[in-house]
Amino acid sequence: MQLSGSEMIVKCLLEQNVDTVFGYPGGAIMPLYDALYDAPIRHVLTVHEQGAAHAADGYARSCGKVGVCIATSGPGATNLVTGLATAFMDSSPVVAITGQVATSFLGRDAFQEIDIVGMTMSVTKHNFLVRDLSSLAEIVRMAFRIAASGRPGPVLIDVPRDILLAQGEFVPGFSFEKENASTDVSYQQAVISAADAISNSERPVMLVGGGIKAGQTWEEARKLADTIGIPAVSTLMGLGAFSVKDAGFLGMTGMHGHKTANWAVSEADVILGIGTRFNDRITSDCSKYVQGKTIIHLDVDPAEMSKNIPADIMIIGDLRQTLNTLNDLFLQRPSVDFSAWRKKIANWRQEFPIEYKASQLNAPWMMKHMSENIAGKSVVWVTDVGQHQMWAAQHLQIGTPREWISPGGLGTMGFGLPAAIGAQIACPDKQTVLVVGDGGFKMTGMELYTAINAKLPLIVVIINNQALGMVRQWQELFFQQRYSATILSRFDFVSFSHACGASAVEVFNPSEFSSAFEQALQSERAFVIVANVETGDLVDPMVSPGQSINQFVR
Amino acid sequence: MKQTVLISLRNQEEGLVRLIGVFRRRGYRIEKLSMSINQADDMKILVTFSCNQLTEHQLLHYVKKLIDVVTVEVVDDHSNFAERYITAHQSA
Repeated sequence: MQLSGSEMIVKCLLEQNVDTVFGYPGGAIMPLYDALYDAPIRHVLTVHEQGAAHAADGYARSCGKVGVCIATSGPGATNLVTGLATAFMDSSPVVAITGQVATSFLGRDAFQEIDIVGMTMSVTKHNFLVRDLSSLAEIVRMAFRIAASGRPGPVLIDVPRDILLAQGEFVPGFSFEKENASTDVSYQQAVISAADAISNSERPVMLVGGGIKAGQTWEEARKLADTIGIPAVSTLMGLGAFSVKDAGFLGMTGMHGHKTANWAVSEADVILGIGTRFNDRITSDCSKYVQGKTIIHLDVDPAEMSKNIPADIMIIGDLRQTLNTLNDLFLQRPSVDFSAWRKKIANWRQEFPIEYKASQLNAPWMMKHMSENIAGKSVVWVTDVGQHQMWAAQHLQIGTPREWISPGGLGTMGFGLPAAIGAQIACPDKQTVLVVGDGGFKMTGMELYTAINAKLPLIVVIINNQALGMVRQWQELFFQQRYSATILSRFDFVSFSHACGASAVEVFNPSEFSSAFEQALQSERAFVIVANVETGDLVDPMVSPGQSINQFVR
Repeated sequence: MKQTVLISLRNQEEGLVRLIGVFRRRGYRIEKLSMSINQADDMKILVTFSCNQLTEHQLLHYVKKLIDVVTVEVVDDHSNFAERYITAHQSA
């Protein structure tokens, strides 16, 4: 079959069951946009290419499929970089297709030429510059395979304009090589050592990270925790792998983790870390973190082993296989009595209850209120970065794995709104609620116009403290209240939202918030709630930087 | 501590840059580098770099993750080995 390069890309996207792409046209990518014009693929035009990359990322995280974004050469391509880096840090499967100047112009600093392959090497799992038409289709297939397999991540394909236009033979096909399960001796020995370490422990804790969600192995992790009777804590990225309602789940651990979770990790003698890279936000001081503990580390990526903290037992490979093998081993063993450990944890729960104040409008109360009032409806919570993100992580009643989307690794302000658009498109039967700060909303707020054009019933809750709250919090605690560049003047979010075509309301107290949220749930178009809170509200708890994770500033 | 590794790589245009980028990003200092491409278009690269034992393993994992990399072997010495090896590879 004779097709142009652009038509081949569209055929390959259809082979991969792509139903939606996010993008922004421009000179070099025009041939592909021409092919998309007739294609049975929904194209969502964003306001900015960064929005397209975050939307593709949000789409991927919410439904587990590969997200696709498209941009032109030069500035179009460079605008994708923050979005790709965000997806890379959080192992999210995204394929980015960029137009490039024609091959005869490459290296001549032609109009809108940029070496996007060179620029994105460090923020993609792999990238390709397509140099001839005959390799195009296989490269697109390979890009999807690389993005979704093993530890997922973004892949960029840069396609020169002449290749998009050239005609050639297209052979339909779909190849997918499944990675083989591990069966070697060292693997088996490591699994047995891990089981022994847990059986011989007194105070074990399971630590779940985003890898459990990327590997879709939350059922296996929950089953293993249940079989062993081991309490579980989660990183920011792992939230949802366990439901907050699970009796053995202690909450989030880390810099702003729940006190019970942090105490349990601190006092544990075995940490079973699954799909986590033991990031500095989780461990705080590494040497104190590992003191008196056996660290068991399960991950699909060998490069994560002993990268941040030394692991005593490393199990590299497919998480599903490892978790199932461990589960089978424990089913054959006599159960271990961890009742003294569970009692200690129960005491911490009593000592550190989570309390809510409804006397004035505050973010923790709003998170609790929204969770209670959305109960029974499938929901996707999306956050941006900052204080609101931590309040959301601490207080939303997250029950399922794909319910929680947050840019944990890169900490990208501006991620929230476009990612929420991607999530709402991927999951039309769910209600997407974006919790965002006033600073982060301003960064990519124009994408509200995209949400309106795409007719999305998105709920946006702006936690408006008229400050860059997290930086301000650090300034208050560690920089002698010198609020350098963090206090923002008033911005009329309601008028802005109306200008984009969204409904919007500003609230100042709990009862106003309550009725606004009820209205938002009924709305068929994007609805923005501007929730005004005190500038001085701080995120509690907070671990003293550089200390053990059970030493709190507040 | 110095370590030498022999890396076999598919000869994609970006392969060498990608590989060197890993050393730079992860904070390893390259002290010596030789490379050759044979007629079958395989690229062999011999790199000597400074590191400690823990980070050597880490680096090898990062290098193995590169899609273009086929094999990575730790070898004993650069200077005695490189010339002979590279010459042999080129004529293969």
